[in-house]
Amino acid sequence: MKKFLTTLLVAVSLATTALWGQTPDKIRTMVIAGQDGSHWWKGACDAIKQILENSGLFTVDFCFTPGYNGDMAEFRPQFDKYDLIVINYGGTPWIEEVQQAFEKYVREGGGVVFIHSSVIPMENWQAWNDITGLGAWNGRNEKWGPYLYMKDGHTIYDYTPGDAGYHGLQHQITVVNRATEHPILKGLPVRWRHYKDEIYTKLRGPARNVEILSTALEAGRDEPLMWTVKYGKGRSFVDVMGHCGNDPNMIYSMTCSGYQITFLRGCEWAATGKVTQAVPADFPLEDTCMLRPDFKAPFNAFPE
Amino acid sequence: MKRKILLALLAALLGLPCLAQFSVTSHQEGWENYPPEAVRRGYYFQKSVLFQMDDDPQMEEVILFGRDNGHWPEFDLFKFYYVIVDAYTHEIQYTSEGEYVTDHYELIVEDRNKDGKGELYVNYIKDGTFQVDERGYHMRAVRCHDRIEFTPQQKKR
Repeated sequence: MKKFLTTLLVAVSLATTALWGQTPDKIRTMVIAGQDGSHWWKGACDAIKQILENSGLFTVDFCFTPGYNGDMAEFRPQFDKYDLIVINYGGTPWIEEVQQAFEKYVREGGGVVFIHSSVIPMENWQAWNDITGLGAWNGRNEKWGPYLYMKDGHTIYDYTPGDAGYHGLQHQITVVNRATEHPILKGLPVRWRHYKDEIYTKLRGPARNVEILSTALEAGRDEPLMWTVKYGKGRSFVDVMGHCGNDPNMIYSMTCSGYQITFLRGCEWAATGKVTQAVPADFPLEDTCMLRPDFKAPFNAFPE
Repeated sequence: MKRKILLALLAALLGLPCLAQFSVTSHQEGWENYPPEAVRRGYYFQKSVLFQMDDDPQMEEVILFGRDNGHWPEFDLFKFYYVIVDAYTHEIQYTSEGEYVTDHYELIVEDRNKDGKGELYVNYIKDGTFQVDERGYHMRAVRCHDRIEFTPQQKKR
């Protein structure tokens, strides 16, 4: 009897220790990159990986396409092995088979996040345009859909003919959160200062099932900077901030704490449909930029 | 069928002289602002100002052409040069040698010596060289200041 009780006690202790020590499941993330003629995509990927993994919520694998002269048939990502796909890509179209697999992944409930220039490529792929909601350059015009922006608090679908996509010199900008009850933005300051970045404007596309999350005032229009798209059962989060210049290591826009925090929350929402992250103390103010140069929250970001 | 081909050829023959005439007399976009030969490859018009720069009663247009030369967290770099054009004839009066490097475009034309003719004041980074810390902040550079006082003897084509 004594021997039985000792064995039971050891077994219970071991099981408790194992359960206690088990870490919660992390969000399995695949970052797609490999081509972008106007951006230092390797630097951006390095920043993305650090931001995601330093949060303790994500694991990150990269999947790179071949270079511009490479054989795109070699690019065959396994989307269904991941909870989240982050796209940092501005290059040549994926092959048909990969396009179909991506559509299926999102349609059946996959989460996807698009960064900055990822709204530019593959302009003739209808589902890509539907999943990004809005796009820029590469010949896009009124045939792709309306310009989408806000004016006096109203969402404007502007069918005026014209090319899509414009940016001026990089600069700091005040971001205005519009969908303040959306899980990605809930609890964050409504107006905040984003560090120096290249601000895309004149975006246009199918603009279906789009919810504008935040805007910035450029040339008299409140242009969308972050938005979500519902596609089938899937969720898409698009953030056109995060320019990484083609000068190596010029990834300063991603050092903005506001960028990193909204990106992390957008990634979690796209993957799971909810946001569990607390609002950190180092979120930017309306007139003050805050930076996380090491791509992780400072020690005092979450005071007791 | 032959008739149609002949008509098409005739239309093309008539069309070519018309197109040629159109090319000669049509509006050349940008000419009013600056002569095309003033623009170096890769450079773009940034700003200009009208000022009396010489003894000729006609005003001159001082034009700044520039281009991006790299972005840093707290500043941008540009390359630039100046062209001075007679505002009436569009004849190029002066083109600055080489290119300057700057972190902000500036076009200052003033008559500080009160001789009735403007001087172009130029600020630039010496040799285009500078230093930053390991994160790209805190630029250190030697700033140079120069003055271009245009005289007819300086005319360059």
